[in-house]
Amino acid sequence: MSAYLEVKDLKKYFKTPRGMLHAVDGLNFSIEKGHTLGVVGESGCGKSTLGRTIIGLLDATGGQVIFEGKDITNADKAERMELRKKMQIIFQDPFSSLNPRMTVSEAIAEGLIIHKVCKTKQELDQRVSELMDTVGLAERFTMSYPHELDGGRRQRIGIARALALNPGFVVCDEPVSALDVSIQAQILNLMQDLQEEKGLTYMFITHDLSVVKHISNNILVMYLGQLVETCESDELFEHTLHPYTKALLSAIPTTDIDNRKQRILMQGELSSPINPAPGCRFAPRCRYAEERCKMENPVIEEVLPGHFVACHRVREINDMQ
Amino acid sequence: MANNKNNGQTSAPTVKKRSQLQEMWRRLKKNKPAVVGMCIIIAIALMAIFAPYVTPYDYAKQDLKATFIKPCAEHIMGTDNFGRDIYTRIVYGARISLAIGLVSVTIGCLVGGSLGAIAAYYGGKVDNGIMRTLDVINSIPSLLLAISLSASLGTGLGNAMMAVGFSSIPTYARIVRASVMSVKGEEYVEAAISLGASTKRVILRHIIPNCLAPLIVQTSMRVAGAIITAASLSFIGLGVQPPTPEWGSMLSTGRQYIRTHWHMIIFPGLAIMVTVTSLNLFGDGVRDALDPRLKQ
Amino acid sequence: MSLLDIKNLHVHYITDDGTVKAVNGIDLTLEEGETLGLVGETGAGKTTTALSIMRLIPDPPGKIVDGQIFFKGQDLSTLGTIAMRKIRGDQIAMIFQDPMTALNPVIPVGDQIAEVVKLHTDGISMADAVKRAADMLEIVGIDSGRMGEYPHQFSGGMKQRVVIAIALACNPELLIADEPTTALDVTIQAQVLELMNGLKQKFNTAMIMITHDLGVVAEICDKVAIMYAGSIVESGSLRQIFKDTRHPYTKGLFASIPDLNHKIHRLTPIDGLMPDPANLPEGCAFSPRCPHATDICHKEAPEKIEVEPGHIVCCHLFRKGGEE
Repeated sequence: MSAYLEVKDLKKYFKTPRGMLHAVDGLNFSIEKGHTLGVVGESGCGKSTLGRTIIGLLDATGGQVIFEGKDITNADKAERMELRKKMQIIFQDPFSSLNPRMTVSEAIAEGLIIHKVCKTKQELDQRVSELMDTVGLAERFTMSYPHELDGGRRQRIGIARALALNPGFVVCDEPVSALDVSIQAQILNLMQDLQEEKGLTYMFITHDLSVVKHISNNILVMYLGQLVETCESDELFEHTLHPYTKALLSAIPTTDIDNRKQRILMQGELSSPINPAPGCRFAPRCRYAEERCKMENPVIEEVLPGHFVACHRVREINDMQ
Repeated sequence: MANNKNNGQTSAPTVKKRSQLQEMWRRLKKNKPAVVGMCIIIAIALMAIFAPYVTPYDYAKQDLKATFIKPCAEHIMGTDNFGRDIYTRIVYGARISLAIGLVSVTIGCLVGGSLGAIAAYYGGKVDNGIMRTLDVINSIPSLLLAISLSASLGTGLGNAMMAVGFSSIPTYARIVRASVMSVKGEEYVEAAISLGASTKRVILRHIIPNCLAPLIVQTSMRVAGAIITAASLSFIGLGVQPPTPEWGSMLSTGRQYIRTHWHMIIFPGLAIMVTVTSLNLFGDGVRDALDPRLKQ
Repeated sequence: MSLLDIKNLHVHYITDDGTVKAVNGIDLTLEEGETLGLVGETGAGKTTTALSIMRLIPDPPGKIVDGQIFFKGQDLSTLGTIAMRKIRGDQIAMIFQDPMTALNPVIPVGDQIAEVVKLHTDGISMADAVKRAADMLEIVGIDSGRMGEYPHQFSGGMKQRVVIAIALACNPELLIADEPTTALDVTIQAQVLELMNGLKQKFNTAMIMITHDLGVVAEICDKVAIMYAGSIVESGSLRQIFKDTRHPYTKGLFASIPDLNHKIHRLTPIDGLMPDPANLPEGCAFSPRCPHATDICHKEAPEKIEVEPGHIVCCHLFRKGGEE
């Protein structure tokens, strides 16, 4: 069985004056058609770079991206043009992701114009107004400029723009983190509806575990460019195995004032991804770290069925055989 | 907003226009000094264009019987050492000054702007090469540069325009480079690329329209500077040659008679001052109207 | 006498395009050592309220058009500029949202703390001020050996710690924190909240915590006030607000948050958008989005009703004689 999207040992390094920045460092995972993979991590863990590398906005340093059974890592210009229709991205910042000099309809129509989807102006207008309707934008905003609209509406434009070409796979790069709570819920619901309606496959990048739990089938936790833990969404919250995921979960402030969680405070902050030292990248902040953790990089293991963890001491910590 | 909904499709183009130009115009209108400046510039420009109709004499016609006449009913600004009507010469001089201002700024804007855009878009060695070369040019004071260029190219209107324009290239390159660099990193540019937009489309549709504001501001401010530089060139005899009336060369001639015939130097001086001040006021207004930080 | 007592505060921003009614008649009281969570979405008027207490509303266009702000019995809204400057930083301190821009990039962090101490402590020598700065850094969990370092040498969480050290350097009686953890990652947010909780107890500082995150409120606050379109729609103790939610807006806020403990298929967001503060709807500002709105809601502004001791709701649903 081949997955819809498969990523094999994907690497993306950036050259910086201080050395090689390992933004994405050997990731393996796959996504089934119609599913949502939530990618969770703190700022600087490489999750946005991952999304951009997969859809070809950035060139991979190493590894493969296999989409619909085809290796697209080094797609040529024509292939890439075709892929642009199938893979899209929704950005985090509803303010900087829209060109301030383009009207709502121009922004949404851009992809249709580039790929010459519509033959006539009428057809184009028709398609744009359909898209606006789909994402819940009133027709009166057709000629508005982004600065006249609020964050929620702008994010709807971003979604309409991404969906204009009927993509199958959409990278959602923190699409709701810049929005107010009540608007956030509206956008999340819209995205879920669209997924059901169109059978979209999402890669949902976020730092917010509660959002990711709500929307994802599977979750992948990243730390400094590497995979830490991945499994089904419910499984992750029921059997949290990796010390980092545990700390991350316990750090989320809860609104349940009667059931306060025992907080696991992590020492220190994210270390630099530039020329990382060998060993587990989380070791400097991990309270279970021992000599071995600082020497060798942990291998990803299937600790429970479908539940992969990269930690030397995962069995000891969780009292497992 | 409710209105737009009711008007539907027909009102669409007007809605679009209002958001862009009219928005700026609305803000500009509130700025009194800018409006005054703009009116004066328009008046000067109109006089320059219709010079033959608003002047009673020929600007080059000498009348040696009527030299050094003080301002009177026949010659409202008097006559010069060759008996030419100063008012007429000033009006024709406006043609030259405005032409120099516009042409030289256009040269600087096009050449400098393109260089800046190329430097920013390609980055790396190209960027370094272009910008360091411009740094060298920039290290020479612009007036000095204009003087040396005029001196080597020879005098004349065209060369003066070239010289003044050339000396403004580094400034434009810098401005355009900075704004292209910041726009290039915006997410909407990334979004366009992810939709499959070609480099040409990205530059034309996304980068250039968002870089125009600082360029427009610079241009409106720069015209004044160009007029002064051109006048300075003519003043020292390197710019436009007589008998073509030019404010700078009129000043230069008048200087010899400053003790006895004040009107020969006052009026061209005033012409330069009023034009430059108006342009600066207008430029300031445009900047304020376009500055996104003052939006909302 | 309460530490802080805000009465009927109205703040307007008067611009060419109309008057923006940012704060419309809010009442707040805060006792010594208490922490109040001021919750609301973008544009609800939270920051404007905070800036009014500090008297830092940019004027023009902002203006306190009505109401009083009593701090220890003194009306801040009529206080002179110089007297206010003495209070600011000394008795009332503020922490801003973005730690990246709140520090001066060209001055070492130690000097930035010492400067505040020197400014507000009469006759203190520079040496003592520096010593105090070193102590403060240790208190917020930064090695005092890093005093000579510049802000860019610190990470985001560390910078926010420095900002907290500056705010607490003069032992203020009231600390206003405007979204102090919004720009930080969750794990760092947890550290900073833990630190603030500890310091609050240690110094017995009263605090106003401005946030949009109900989770943060639950972690750190004793009292909560929910703001919507410049008014407080519901206020009470943490338990009253979280366990006995009354106002439809507050209920909507809770329903909008995905819950980690319970799996639901769909969130129930509040319909519609925040009203434009330059053009507020008649009657209750929330009525256009409220699922329970009746005719009266669109006509008359609701009054404040004390549904139980200390629990105030501003909604027609709770009028005397009316049903819940």
